[in-house]
Amino acid sequence: MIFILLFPVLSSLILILFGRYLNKKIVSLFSPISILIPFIIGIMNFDKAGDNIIYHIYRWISIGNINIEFALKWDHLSAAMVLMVTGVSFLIHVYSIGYMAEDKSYPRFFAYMNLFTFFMLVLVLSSNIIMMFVGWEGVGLCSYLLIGFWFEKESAAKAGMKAFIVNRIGDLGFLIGIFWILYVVRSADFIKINSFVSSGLMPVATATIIGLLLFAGATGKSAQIPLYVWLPDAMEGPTPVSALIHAATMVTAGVYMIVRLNGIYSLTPTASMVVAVVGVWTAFYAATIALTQTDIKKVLAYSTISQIGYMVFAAGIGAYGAAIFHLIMHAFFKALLFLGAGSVIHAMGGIQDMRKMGGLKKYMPTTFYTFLIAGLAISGVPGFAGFFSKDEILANSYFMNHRILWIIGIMTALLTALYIFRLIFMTFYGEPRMDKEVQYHIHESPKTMTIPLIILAVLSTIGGYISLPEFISKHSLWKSYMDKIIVFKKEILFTHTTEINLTLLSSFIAILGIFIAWYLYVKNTGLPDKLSNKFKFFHKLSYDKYYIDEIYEFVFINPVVYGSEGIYQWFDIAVIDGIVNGSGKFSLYSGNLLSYFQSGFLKDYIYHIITGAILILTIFVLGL
Amino acid sequence: MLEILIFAFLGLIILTTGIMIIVEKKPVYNAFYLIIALLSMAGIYGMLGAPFIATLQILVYAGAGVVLIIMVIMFYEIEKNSFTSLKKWWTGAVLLSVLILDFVALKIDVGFPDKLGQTVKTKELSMLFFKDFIYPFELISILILVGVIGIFIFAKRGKEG
Amino acid sequence: MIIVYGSILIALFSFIIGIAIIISKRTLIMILIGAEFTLNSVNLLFIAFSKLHSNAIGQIFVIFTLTVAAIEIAVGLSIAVLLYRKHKIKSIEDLKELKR
Repeated sequence: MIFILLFPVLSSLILILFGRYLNKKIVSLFSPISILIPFIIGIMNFDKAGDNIIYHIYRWISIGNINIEFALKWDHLSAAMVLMVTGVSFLIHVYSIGYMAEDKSYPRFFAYMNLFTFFMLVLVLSSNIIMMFVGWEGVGLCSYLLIGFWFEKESAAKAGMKAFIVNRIGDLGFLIGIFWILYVVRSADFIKINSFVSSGLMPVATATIIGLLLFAGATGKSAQIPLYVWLPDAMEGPTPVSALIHAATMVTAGVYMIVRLNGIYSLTPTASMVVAVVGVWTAFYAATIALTQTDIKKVLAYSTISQIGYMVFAAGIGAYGAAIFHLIMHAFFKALLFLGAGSVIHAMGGIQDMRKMGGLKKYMPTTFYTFLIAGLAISGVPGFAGFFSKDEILANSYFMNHRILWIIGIMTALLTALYIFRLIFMTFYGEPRMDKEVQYHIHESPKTMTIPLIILAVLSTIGGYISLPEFISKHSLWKSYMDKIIVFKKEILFTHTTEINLTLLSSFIAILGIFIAWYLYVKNTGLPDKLSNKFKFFHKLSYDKYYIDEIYEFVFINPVVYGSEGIYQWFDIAVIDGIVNGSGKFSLYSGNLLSYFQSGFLKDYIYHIITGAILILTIFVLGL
Repeated sequence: MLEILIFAFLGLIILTTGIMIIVEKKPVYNAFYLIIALLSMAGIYGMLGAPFIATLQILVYAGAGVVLIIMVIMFYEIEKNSFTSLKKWWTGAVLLSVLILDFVALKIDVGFPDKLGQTVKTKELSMLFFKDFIYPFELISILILVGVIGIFIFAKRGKEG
Repeated sequence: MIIVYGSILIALFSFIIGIAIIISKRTLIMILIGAEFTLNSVNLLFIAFSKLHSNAIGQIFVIFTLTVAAIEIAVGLSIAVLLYRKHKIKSIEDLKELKR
């Protein structure tokens, strides 16, 4: 099992150290294979996952009676996550061979990607929360490195910094939460935590505080309100990075964490409610922003925030299975969307503005059809992956009597279909709006890029069938699979007629969204401009992302900057510099004083030695 | 009584020769004074019930060590050898009195035995030496070996230079 | 008894005298002589205490000290000779490496 971790990290080390001496072909063979091997190990051990195996590697920290093992946990949750992470990561590695082919830092890119996969595996395989935090921070580091991959671009470097700093804010809460758990449970082990919780030893108030603190970390990593601001900027990184880190894997770590600690969250209705409200509000809010963005990657970024909002919402209402289900399905179709967008950008020679695209359908059919499948999947058109997962979340929220949240969820589903098909119609349909020269160069992407697209398209089509709605099959595969990791199981009564109605409703919503998008952007192309002029205020608000960045800058960043300036003026110069200079002067003078004894004459030294020895003897004798 | 007289005489010789070494400027004389001091010290050893050590002292120090020193002095004609100064002689007096006071304090505090015990016989000494102290003994022999090798190396270097 | 205490006294005196020799002389060989003198005073102290406590270990340590002193004379002299032959150094004041 340790090999799962070993291959990516070894490959990463080799690429970091010797990458520049290696042939490009070796790198592009080496790096994906080091991800493929863990995937194969994961598949081979998949059936063992039911036994909740713990692989002890070594005792990492031992303080008093708190022992923190470096151990891997192989249960249903981590097995599913490992397969998703390694599988998607492998496909994206293969894709990157084509996408990054012209980049001069080719080995560095793959080194970071492998390192990221390693940390992601540590995160999902960890058997205790401290080790999980190691992975959590590790993926954050790799995210920073990869957002700022093209660090010559100032905006990329700044975006990396922003992601890192915003995540720090959330991680502060997460870290305090971890310490609190350690303080209360006296162990970091997930098994111990869950047994502690299920035996009723943990007070609800404590669970609420811990849940909220940990959720603060999740809002940072999973880009929820209020800490989502880094994710759109993170699109400065290469597109495969956006696909792997900022869509499929890392940003879902928060959801994974909530599901992993579902015992704590099940215990506290308050924290769970906060989680659910934040999740659904983020989903809706980000979807409204995605409606008006013109940068193809920004639309997808806000779409990601919105979809993670769904997952967090599901985790908040206690539908942990649905949350992980949507997480995995989302990994498929969102990775596909990003990779498709990457393919488009690649063909367009780096142009990301959708207003300069259009009519790409006939130039790049593979990209178009796979992108279309992903679009159908994310909109929730029946038969595709997103339909099953999103429907399950909405059905759960309906039957658990979270009606208001359910309505917001349904509205978000409409917006999702609308913005994603706006993207598709603007990019692939209509008249080409790009320059003649760019148009001349448009080409279908190479095989290494299209094959991952096709595989992901297949997965986003058939992936959903592992969890059929209850009215079709009584015992869905996924539900019984996930039941093992849930601490407090609760039975929810699904009435079949209502469920069928709900399914029909959400299908109708999805198709309605697509129809509106078609009407606005294909049939009646003049209408969007008229609408945006008519509702100028709302359009501007959405287009400028509700000015959240500016508000944050005004409220948080500027006070810190000016405050620091002030502190620098008096504290640093007067106190710190005074201490530093003072210590320098002190050693100068005392050195001058002492140098009297260092005459350079041997006899003086002997004299001092003997005097000292006799002095010590005297002290010893008198002290007796 | 005669014993005490002899002891006082030997002690006086040691102190006088010591002071003569400080004052005398010719190195050869200094070496001879050292021999005298070492011999009288051997006498005191004998009186303190350590005849074996006294013999060793005469053999190793007076016989070999100082002869070596005299040889070097004669070979390299180190003749003039003025001492730097004795301006700080009183510091020596202070240190000495402090040392003596230390020992007095030790005697008062810890208390030395009032009566002298049995004198250690050479046989017992050797039994102890080759039973309990066999490993230090071996180690010291290795030290001698190292010293010899070191001297060889120095001698060779000196030739090349 | 008087002999034992007297020899302790003599040992202390000759210790200081040995140090005085080391400090006051300039030649390396004279410093070696001073060192020998000091070592001998310590030996005397050892033997006096060995007698006082009728404990043989003091004498054994004297033997060790003697051995070390013999090696020290040999090595020290060879260093002195080497310095003299290579650099014509007789006085320790010519060794200026430690001077500030």
